[in-house]
Amino acid sequence: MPHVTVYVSADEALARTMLDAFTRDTGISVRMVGDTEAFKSTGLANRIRRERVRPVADVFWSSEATHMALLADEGLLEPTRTDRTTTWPAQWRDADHRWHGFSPRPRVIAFDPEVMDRADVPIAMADVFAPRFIGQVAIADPRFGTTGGHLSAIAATHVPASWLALLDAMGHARMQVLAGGNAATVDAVIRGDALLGLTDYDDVIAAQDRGRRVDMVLPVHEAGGVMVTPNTVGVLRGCPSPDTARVLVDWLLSDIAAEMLAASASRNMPVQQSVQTQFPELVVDDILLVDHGAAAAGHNEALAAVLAALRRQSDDS
Amino acid sequence: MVAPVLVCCGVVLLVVCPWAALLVHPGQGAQDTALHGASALIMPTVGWAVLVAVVATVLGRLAAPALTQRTSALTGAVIAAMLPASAVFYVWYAMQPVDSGRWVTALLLWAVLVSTHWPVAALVLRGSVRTAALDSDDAARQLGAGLLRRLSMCAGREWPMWLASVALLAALSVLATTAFDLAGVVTAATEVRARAALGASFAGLIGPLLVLSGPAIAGAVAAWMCLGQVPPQGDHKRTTPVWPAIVLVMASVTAPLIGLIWITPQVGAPTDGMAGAIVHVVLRGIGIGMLVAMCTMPMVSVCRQLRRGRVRWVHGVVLVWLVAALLPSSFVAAGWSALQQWLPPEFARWGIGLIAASLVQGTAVAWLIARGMVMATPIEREDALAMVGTRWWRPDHAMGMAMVAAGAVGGVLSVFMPAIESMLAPPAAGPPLVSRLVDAMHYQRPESVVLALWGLLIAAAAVAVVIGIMRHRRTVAPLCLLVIMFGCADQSDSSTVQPLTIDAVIGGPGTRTGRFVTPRAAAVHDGVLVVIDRTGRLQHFEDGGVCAVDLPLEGRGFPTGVHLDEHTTAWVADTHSGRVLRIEHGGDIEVFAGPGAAAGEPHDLGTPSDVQPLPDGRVLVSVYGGDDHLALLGADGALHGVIGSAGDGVGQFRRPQALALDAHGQVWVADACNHRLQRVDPETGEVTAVLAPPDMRYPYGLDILPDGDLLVSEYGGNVLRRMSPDGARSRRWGGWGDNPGQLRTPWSVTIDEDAGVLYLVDAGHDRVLRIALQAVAW
Repeated sequence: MPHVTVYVSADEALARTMLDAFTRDTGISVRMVGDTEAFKSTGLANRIRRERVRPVADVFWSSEATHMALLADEGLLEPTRTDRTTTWPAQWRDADHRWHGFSPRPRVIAFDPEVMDRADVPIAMADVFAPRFIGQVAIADPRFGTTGGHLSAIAATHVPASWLALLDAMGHARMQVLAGGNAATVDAVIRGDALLGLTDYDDVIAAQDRGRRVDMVLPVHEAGGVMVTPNTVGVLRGCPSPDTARVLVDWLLSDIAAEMLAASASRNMPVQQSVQTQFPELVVDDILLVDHGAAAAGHNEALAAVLAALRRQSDDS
Repeated sequence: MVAPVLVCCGVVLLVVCPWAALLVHPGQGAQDTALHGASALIMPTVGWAVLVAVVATVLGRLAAPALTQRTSALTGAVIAAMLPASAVFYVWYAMQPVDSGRWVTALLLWAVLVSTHWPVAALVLRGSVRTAALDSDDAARQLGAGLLRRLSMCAGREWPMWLASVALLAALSVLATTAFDLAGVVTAATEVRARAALGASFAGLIGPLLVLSGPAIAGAVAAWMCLGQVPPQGDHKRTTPVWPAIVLVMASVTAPLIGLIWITPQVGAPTDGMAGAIVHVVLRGIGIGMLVAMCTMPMVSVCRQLRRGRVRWVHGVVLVWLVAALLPSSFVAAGWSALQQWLPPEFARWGIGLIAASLVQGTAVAWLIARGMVMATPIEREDALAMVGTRWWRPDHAMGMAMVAAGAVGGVLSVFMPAIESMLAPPAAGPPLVSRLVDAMHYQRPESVVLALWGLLIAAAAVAVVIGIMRHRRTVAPLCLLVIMFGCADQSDSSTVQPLTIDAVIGGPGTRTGRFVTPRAAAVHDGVLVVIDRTGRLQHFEDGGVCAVDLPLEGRGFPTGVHLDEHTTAWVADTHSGRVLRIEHGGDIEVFAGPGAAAGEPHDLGTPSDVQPLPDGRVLVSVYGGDDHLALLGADGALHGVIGSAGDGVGQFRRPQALALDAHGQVWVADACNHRLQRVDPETGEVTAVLAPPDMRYPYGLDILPDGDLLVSEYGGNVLRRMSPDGARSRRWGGWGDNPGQLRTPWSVTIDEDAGVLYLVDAGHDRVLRIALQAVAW
């Protein structure tokens, strides 16, 4: 039986459902490796780097774009052409077709509607770190996952002065940096440990589905629009099963996969217009346009600046 | 030397290679990966470690006495220790009101960490509570000293063990990184995990590792040293307060169980395939447990050699091993992850790195179990094993028990390592359990955590049952369920033989007159009881009075056999001096045979173990030490003949340990290492009977009842056995344990027909038991 090996940093329960459907559709069995919520993408990307000489995986399915783009820049991804993405906006794929983005979800600010009036929740990203929220904002560890990708995207899309101002504000915000990831950020808001939580759309939806009292707003960035984080997928260079890998990539970019992700507990926004019409409530019109390649190129520098700011706030407190 | 070489290979494979790979691995430095500097990590790490370790040590000390005596308490403690703090914390965390505040969460985390770590302290401190300190504790209790006062007195007396416990718990407690995640607490261990996931180099990890290395090194040294002490044996007939153990087990096991029962109907069935993951991980746990058990074999052998002062350099090897296990598992995983890039891809695909990294903690536990098991085994039994010629790959009883315990604990420990699993798990159709469990905690999916915690609870209970069965040989599974449900409710008497009914206890541990240090032989005649022990004293007990005669020992020799003749003259087998002594009742000592003999031709007796004067004036001496035989001496001490030789055939002996003359002039020989009795005709040297019951273990003592039945004290079986001379009937009393009527390594038995009593030398308890002959009636 043909098979494919995939490293997945998306929520494993969701990924398992998707990959089971892929097996049913194609007859290709899937072996997967996941990662914990706290280290999404980063841990698996480093694993791929360590295995660069003799790759174990065929496909990397990441829940964000920065680390995928970094792997592409390091020459670890094989170009994979597919007709499915040719009509998509450019920000959903690599110019050299080394990775493709699909089914993004917005970055959001979570809050407790009984503790805070929606009108008081900042709608501009820069206001999240305002003095009135000192010590009241929770974020996931920026070294990992979508939080790191979000900050890299801000650095890549904002003018230097705005970025530096944001860093300065972060340095004084005494944020609660939680090792448990985005889900822990939502939990901190639910439990009243923080007023605001910078997190992912799907984590808030998951909490709401559990009956938790939490709501969200989609913050707008100074460079314009809401940050949305795409899932990304790419084939590893020198992988053991490149043919089945391409089949999987093609399937993940299909309308069927987009429908499944939109209908799932994760509520991912479909990129395909044909699917968007089925899920209009998920569509974000005003999207922050991010060149993920550029964001990845500046990722290490941006992360170092953020870490320095957070260490400074740690020293101050 | 094979076993020490094997353990060296083990430390190289499991520890040195991954560390070395990490050293040369060009990962990211601290500047690129550090969110928290080492200075910012010291306070929270040390603060949490000390808060948990000190309180858990105090609580563990309170519960330790019950653990030494009550299987139910030990079983409950094992279950509590095996439960992952993260999963237990999650249950409470999920039930906690959402607006209860951060302080409540922190308090909950602290309570859960204490509840899962006090059993370790109790197990470490068990050795202390066996000492004579019990006497002073009783005295303080009688003087009205309160609990705190007595605890402080305990701490003053036992401070080295307390320090060892605190150091070990400090190292262990901060490794529960997922629990700290849920509570929003950052420690050096969480920072190491994060940097390892980022692909940090050794230099990038060194800051938080330095914070953790202090407790890890101290904990490793403390654990190894305190397990290197021979557990003192004593008379444990005092009443042990059991309420601390009841309260702690209730809080640590029963309370989470009630929480689980309460929450289970509310959360429903998991939808993310956790059930399949549990099957997968159980199979992996069993496989790794078997590997750990196999690794235990050379470890036991090495521990035996260490006990005899050999291969001391292995101490360093083991300490490196233990320190590696007390550092975050993410560090081990990072090392293996770095190493795998130079290995064939099959290593990653087949999960060899995952297995190797998972083995580090399991095998470290195996080291501790092996050392504890070896040190708890009386040196005499080790002597016997050495003489039998056991090899490290042939499991004996103690090694088998160590393998089972280490395999069970190591198997369960190995599967709950999320950092290792997330970094090294091979691609698989089945999902890895622990990563999913950690994700379920982070994503707030209580239904998955609850199912997994049920599985872990059952696994912990299974391990506790295994250990309970090994402690006493009766199945304690039903009791285990009771422990889970109601805490340690009652004392278990799990021996398969009936306890002895004891008339009186003579002696107790100590070097004062009237007390003993490992008494080894006793004889009685005409109301006079003589007992010899390892201090080289022959003590007479007569009409309520006691007098002691110091034997003229040479070197470190210890006598092992004594016989009283009709003149109340004591014949002593001065074993390690190679002599037979004759001691008049007044105390005059004469060397009858062997070096320094006054009469007869001096000859080398070897190592005599017992003496039996014969009616015709000759003396039969049993000899072991490689040239095992019976020496027939004349009345002048000269050698008249030799009966038998070393071996396991009929007429051959392996450690003939005791002799007894029956009414027909035949001599029964306790052929200890052949686990049998042989009857020898001293005139012809022929063997006229062999009795070898299948359950006989190391018969060391032997005497004959008036009706001709045999009384045998079994050093390895820990029983007193009555047998008919034809072997048709057999019955046993005693059993291993500290409860009334139970024994530890009974060495010798002697019968006083006139008084209708027998005296049983309960060597492990440093006492002699007086028992009515009716108590051993058929």
